[in-house]
Amino acid sequence: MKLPYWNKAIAWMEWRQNWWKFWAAFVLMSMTPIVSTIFLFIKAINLEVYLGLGAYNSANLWSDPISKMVAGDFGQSSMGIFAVFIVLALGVVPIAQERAQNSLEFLVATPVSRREIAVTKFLVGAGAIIGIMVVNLLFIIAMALVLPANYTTPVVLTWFAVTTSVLLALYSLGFLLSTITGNLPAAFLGAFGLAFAPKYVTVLLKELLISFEITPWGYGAVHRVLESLGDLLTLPYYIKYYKYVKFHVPYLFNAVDQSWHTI
Amino acid sequence: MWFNIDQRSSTPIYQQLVEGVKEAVAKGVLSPGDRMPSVRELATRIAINPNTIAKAYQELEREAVIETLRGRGTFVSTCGNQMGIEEKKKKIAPMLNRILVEAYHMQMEEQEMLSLMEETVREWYRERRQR
Amino acid sequence: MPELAIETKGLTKKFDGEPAVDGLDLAIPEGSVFGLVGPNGAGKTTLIRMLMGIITPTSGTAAVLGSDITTPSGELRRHIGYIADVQHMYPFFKVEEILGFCTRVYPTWDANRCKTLLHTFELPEHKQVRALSKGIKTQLALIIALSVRPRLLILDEPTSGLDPVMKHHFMQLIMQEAASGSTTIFFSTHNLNDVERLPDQVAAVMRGKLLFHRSMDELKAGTRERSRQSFPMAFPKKSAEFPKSSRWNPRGRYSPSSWVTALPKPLNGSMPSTRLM
Repeated sequence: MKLPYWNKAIAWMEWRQNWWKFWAAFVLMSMTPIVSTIFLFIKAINLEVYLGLGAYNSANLWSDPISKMVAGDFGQSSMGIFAVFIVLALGVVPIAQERAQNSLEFLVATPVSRREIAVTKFLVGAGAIIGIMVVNLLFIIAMALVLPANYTTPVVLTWFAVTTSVLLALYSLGFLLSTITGNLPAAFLGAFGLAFAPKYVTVLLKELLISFEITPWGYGAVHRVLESLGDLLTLPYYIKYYKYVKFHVPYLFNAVDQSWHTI
Repeated sequence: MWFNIDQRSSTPIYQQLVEGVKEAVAKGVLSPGDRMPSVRELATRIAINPNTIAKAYQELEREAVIETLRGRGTFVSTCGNQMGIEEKKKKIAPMLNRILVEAYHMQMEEQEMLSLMEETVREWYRERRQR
Repeated sequence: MPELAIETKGLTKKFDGEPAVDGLDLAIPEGSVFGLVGPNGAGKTTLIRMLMGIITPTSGTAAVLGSDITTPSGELRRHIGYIADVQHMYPFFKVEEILGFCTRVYPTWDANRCKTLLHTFELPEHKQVRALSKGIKTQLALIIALSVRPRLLILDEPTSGLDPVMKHHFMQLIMQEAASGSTTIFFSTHNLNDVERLPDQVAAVMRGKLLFHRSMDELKAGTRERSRQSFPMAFPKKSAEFPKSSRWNPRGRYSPSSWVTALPKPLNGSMPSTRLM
């Protein structure tokens, strides 16, 4: 690949060092879509009448986990609970690992520039995440082509677009923090904290407003605005409460509208 | 071996090499026509800066102890040092002088000195002929 | 004017305000063998790490093989072989994987040379780096440095921690590289024996400052002067009381006495009378 600052040697080295981590990430992140679907199939083979059970169309039962995930039913995460942690870890590990094992000096003394190191490592991890998502996407779509399913393709594509972007954003956050601290646990915790920060900050602000009894533009509206902003800006919630977050957008508009009218 | 240099000696390394080669040739350890290691070979072998070795070789060539045949390498000279008898005397005499000064300070007699010298010289040449 | 392999002008590095390298000016011509001497903490490793781009200087400039050391691109290191003072390689990689990485990252990598050297050193290819001893890791570093077919070899105390046999072997290989004529060799050491036999030029540093920079011939000519003076009628006692005599060693009636000076001779040739010093 001929991208600027892409270095084949570093990419090879990243893969050689971390290939098992990428495979583990794949397995863990694919829990919901691929793994649980396969488990259902295995169950179905064992309990012959399994497919006949259920109040609704039994032929679609296999697609339950996927359709729940893709539609974003309340409480169902969009890509397995582990996804956030895994992606943050994938972001933090490349650089932090170099510093932990002291190999950064060896690397820097070779004919690679620091920019090449950063860019190549970033792209390898990002590529892995995109690859995992794409594999899941293809699996989901392929299954729908073979068997009748409870979900439709446009919904799946939306899910893919939103989830991949959020995961890449979290990955970048982890990567950024590892370049700042270099200490693996510190970077991980820092990234984790920053990812959830909007929620905490807005909750804190809301509580402060309530305690000091400041109520601009009417009680409740501002609090709801803050709450919605917190949920919207907190990236992990797009994974954890996928559809729930989508509700916040019209909710937010309503709240702003309301408070505007109150003034 | 002639290229074993003594790092602790105050004699410069190239000088030690020059003297080592001369001694080896004089004793017959190296015979005329023998191939000398190239500068590079010797530098690698004894881990000495190649420039130092090159300097030693230059001096040896100047004194016609060794000669370089282009394309073939460096060899011990076959024809040797063609110096006139006067020149030889001029070089050896001061060396002899130094020995005699030391001997004097050790309070050696003239006859003692002469017989010692004769003994040493004959022994040296006898050993050489035996090689 | 021969090309300069390494050139530094006022190179300075400060750590917390303390200068580790202080205004260093060096000019090392291509093809020469250059030795940097100094005690521990003199700043040799800091200087070398700056030349390799591992740390950035506080002030001053330096150029290696014509390129400024602060250029972000890694190109200038393509033709530099480097042995660090402490080897840090990927500990979980096997030797062959490290070499695999080097093959891909150095454009001028000579695989045959690498194989030959591995064979000569009998280095175990399938062992992980973390299982190797310090000496073996240094050997590996040398193999990598030489297989690059470098134009410049930068060696930071390369023979420290090696057994005498290995040390000799190292020096042999380095001199072989020097004899090829196309490689410049820059090494640092605190072992004065190495300094006598290997380099053309020597520089000494202490507390970050350059003490002197001489060619080896000049240094040897001016540094050690052993003067043998014999006094057949017994050693004149007055000489022993001479204020500047450093050492006298009487032995019986015939007393050779030697004095050794260890300071370099000033270049303009003026010498204090040192017969009795």
